[in-house]
Amino acid sequence: MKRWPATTLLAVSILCPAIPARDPPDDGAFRLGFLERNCLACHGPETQRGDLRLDTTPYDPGTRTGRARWQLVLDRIDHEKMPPPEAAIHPTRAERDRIVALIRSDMDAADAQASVAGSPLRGLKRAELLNTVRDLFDIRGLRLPASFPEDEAALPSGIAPLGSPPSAAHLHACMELAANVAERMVYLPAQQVTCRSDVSSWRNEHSMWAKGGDNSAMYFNGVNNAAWCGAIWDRTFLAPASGTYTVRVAARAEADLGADGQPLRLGFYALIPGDYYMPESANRVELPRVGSLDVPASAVTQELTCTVELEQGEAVHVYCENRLPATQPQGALSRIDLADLLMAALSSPLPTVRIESMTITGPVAPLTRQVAFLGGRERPSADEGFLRSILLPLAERAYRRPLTAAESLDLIDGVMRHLDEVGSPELALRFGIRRILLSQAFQYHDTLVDSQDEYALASRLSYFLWSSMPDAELLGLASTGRMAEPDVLRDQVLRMIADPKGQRFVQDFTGQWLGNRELATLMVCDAKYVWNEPLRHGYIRSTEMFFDEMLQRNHSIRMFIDSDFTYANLPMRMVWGFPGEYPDMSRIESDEAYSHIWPEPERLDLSKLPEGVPPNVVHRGGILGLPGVLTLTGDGVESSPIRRGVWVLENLYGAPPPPPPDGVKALPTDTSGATTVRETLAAHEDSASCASCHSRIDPLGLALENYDAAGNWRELYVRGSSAQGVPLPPEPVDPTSKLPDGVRLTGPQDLKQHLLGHSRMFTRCLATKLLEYATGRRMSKSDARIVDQIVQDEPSDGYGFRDLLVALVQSEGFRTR
Amino acid sequence: MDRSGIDRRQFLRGASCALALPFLPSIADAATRAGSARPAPAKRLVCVGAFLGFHPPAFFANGASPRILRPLYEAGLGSDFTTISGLDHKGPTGNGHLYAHTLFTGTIGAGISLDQYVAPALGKSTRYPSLQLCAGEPKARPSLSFTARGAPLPTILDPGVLYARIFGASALAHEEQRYLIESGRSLLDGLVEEAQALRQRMDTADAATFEEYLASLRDVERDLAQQREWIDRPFPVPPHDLPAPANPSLDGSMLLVNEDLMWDLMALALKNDSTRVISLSIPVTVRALLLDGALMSAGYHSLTHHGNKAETIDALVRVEQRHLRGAARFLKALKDTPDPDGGTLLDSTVTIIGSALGDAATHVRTNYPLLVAGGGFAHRRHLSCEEASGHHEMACDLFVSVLQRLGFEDERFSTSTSDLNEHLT
Repeated sequence: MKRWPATTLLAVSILCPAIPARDPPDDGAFRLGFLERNCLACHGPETQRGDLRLDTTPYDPGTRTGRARWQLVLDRIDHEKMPPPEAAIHPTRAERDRIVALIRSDMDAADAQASVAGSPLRGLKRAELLNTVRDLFDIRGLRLPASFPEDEAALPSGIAPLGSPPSAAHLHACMELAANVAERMVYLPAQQVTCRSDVSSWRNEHSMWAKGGDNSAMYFNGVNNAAWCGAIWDRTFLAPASGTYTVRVAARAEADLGADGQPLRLGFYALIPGDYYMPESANRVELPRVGSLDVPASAVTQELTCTVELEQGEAVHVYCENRLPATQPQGALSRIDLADLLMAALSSPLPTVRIESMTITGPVAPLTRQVAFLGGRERPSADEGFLRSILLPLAERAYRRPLTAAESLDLIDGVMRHLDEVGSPELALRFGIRRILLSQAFQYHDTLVDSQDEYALASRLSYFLWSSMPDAELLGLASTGRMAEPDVLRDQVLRMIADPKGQRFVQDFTGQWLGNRELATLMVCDAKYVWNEPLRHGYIRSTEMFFDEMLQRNHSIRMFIDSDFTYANLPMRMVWGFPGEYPDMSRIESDEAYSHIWPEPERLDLSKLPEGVPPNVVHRGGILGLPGVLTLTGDGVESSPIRRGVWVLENLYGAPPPPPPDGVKALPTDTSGATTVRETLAAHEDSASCASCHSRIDPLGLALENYDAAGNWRELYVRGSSAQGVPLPPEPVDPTSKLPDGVRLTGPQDLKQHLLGHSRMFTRCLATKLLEYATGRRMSKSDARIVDQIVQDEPSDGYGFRDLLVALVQSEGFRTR
Repeated sequence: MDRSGIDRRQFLRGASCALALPFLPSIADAATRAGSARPAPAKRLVCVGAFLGFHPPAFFANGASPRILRPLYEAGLGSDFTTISGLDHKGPTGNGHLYAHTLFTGTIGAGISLDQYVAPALGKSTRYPSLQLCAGEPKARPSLSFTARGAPLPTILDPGVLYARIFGASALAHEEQRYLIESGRSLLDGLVEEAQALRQRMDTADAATFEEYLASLRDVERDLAQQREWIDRPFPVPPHDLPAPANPSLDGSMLLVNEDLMWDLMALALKNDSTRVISLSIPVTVRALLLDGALMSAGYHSLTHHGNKAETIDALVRVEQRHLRGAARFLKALKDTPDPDGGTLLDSTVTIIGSALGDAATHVRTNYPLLVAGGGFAHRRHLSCEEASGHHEMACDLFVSVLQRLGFEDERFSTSTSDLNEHLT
């Protein structure tokens, strides 16, 4: 079944002018007659197969929803899927052609009339929503609820989701998120929890340093590089609500001073136990420190007290901070290195702290953050003026624009009504936060109708480059009416790219355009390939780092096609055959298994490769040398010249072939290797309907055949066994092919040359993808005119990548919704 | 969730998914009482899928040594199941991992899964219309359950969470829940008003999409009303020999341990009628599994690429046998429980266990391992669809027979071309 094209939500009429259908009587009569003769028996008043009734469906191929509907009707007729074979009568090919041409021309007419407008009202994507909520509230460790559905429906180009109405599951998840944020923002004195643990209940994360010599107390050896190491408070304690907790410790120190000359000190750190199993980043971040306690030297155990600020769901990690000299490495380490350190720390004779029990009680008071949210108050007041003073500025930031009078009224009215019902100002305030987070103004982009709106422009720029809400500087420019000035836009683009948040654009855009998102879960799975998580990480990061260098150094976009540099991490260089003193792969894999620490890629200068590097590595320049891209165009077992060819057409030439007609069986992938790729592809030449597209697709893919399904260079195909079980001799790879324009390709370099010879196609392709990504709308004919202009203005040596972004942001296509 | 309003508009989804009214149990009962030959329809469905498949020579009951099935025989369930060979979803060849999630949808495009298709009808009168579970790790918790729009439903990973769903959380949590539902309903009123205001600025072409948004709001409204209704009804009392699992480890290596808990809790959830529709994913993990207290020597995924080495196959079969041991306990518990409407819970529950990976060793997407148990089918240990009269090949043919067993009148589901009634009833 084909994917149903995404429909759009709540597009406001001004964004999508209805197109009066061009409908001369002849054509109209023919269309109606055609439908009546061929379709209405099953899709008419009597029966509605597939719930489709064509005599009452409006003929509206010019509108967005209508286009999706009629495109499907058109395809079914064009591909002779409908009427079905068993139908009594069938139209002639000429009749089919006429109705297809007729519907198409109505669609084209609508396109030609459309102004540059019509971004569907888009909801925030998962990542955008999470970034925005984090930027708004700054709650440590906040995440989307597990029930939050994946993003739906992307444009055919794979860039940016179209607006689609939220499902009930999506609304439920948003309600859960909003309630959770509200609870964490507004402290409400609740039933306190007390959790006592002692040496008998502590669970150490490492059996070898259990409970000290006499099993009477917990010793802390003072290494804290990662969450897994050190004493974790019994995991049965999780903070039930965000707030301040009291910790009582029964402990004594073995000496007056620690290694830093200060009294021996316990540090308390917050962690989310689930993350122990789920490191989100390759290199572990230091845990946030939430409290500390000096422990006096004493012969008897003393009771000591301190407070810690915890977010809901956090556990406490505690260790002795200054037992060992500060020369201990504190950054990311593999677990193997850490285990060695631990052994050394354990056997160190330095004095430490002994703990006999710990008790945590709370929540006893609000967090500093919660007090600050209330303007310095411990508790909110039930006064309307107070609630307005908290909620209206919050709503303004959340909506990324000033509120309309009606919006403020609705919000405060609802909150006051709720206050009347429940009587608690805390609950009323929480209700207001939930209302703000569920409103369409928060959940959707561009909710104001005025198409010249400066705030909408600030938001669009911000979601484009930061995947989040605009900061104070952007909103300030919008409020003074300067946002649309070309110089301001240029300066802001440069500032935003340089900001760390600009990496979100790098990640998200490469995730979509260069397939990193798919690569994150693709299972490369065959004994032929070396594959492990450090390699996967290298593939993903090398694509990101290549893209980031293009952006930060403003390289000519021609270098996307071919460049004299690329990125590769250690495992990648090992697989590529770099000589040198490398640890073997199994060491890297075991480090990974312990620590989830993956080697970051480093820059490779392809014009100055070290001695002994295989000559094929020179071809790694540009997108077509990135192993991630080469891998995602296979299925993890076999490379596919067809998928690669289609990918190159779609993502570099910007000329995607139409999907294969319905009912055509995909060519079988022969995993045994008994038939060669060429023999298989030859089937495409047998049929004119296959050849019409595959003569464009297959040669591009064949030119990349020197790369296997894991993106590694090969000169021979590894083949399986014949039907009789006799191993087949390896077959040499033949990367030669001929494009429809007569150009012969003999490998990846020729393909890059051909692309460079058609560099305007590439510029148009990239500009279109960026504009679609930024606006969330499919490019219309009128958008195409804007892109044409940008392509025409391209300097002879190509746009710098940053310059291209600036040109796009300054264009009418970016500015208009 | 009933999304029939949307389905009607998305008219080209295909006749295969067209909604049909369920054959209502009351009608069926009347038919049975009237002496009709048709047995009472089953009313529960459990869909289990292993993302790494089952070693085929040890799975099918007609094989020389179906070792994986041994726990079923040991539990005295030898005549309560049928393994079925020769069925799959067709579609692209190549790396079968890519489509292992399509087991119950039958299509690699957007399509509803079997469990979600039946949930609105079967789950009407239970606390949860359906439950989606996974024995995985937080990083990989794939779902087998998909909405009509093709969106995967999130899975419950932590057996402790499942326990709280079935037996209820603390009284305090209960009170908070009630407040959240009630205040959530007022919030929803505000959203509907806001949406109505927006509607006036909309052109006709977008009215339909707008209606979809309103329909979603109404769905949520109805869900909250249902939750509100259930929140005051007492939860069942947990059996004293099964305390709440306390902070179980959700590491991938704990897959079999957590899966065991899931099977036991699933049986309880059906016995106390918390739900009537469950899906359970047994996901891919590269971690070595903890089996009978010891960590295995190789990762689960690498075991499947056994290269025909006998000892690796043995280890793999031990893991897969373990999946079936949980299943056997689950099915036995159902068999030992009478259904209030007569017969046993096993008779009124259809359980499907299988994989959309024919053989993980070679990644093939043909000839899925499939097993159907209970449900009042005429079980025959094994059915070779390659040889069966009529020659079936689509796995969805089985699902059509399951649907009809559950009282639905559908004659097609997703990619089905026929049904297996002739062989199973």
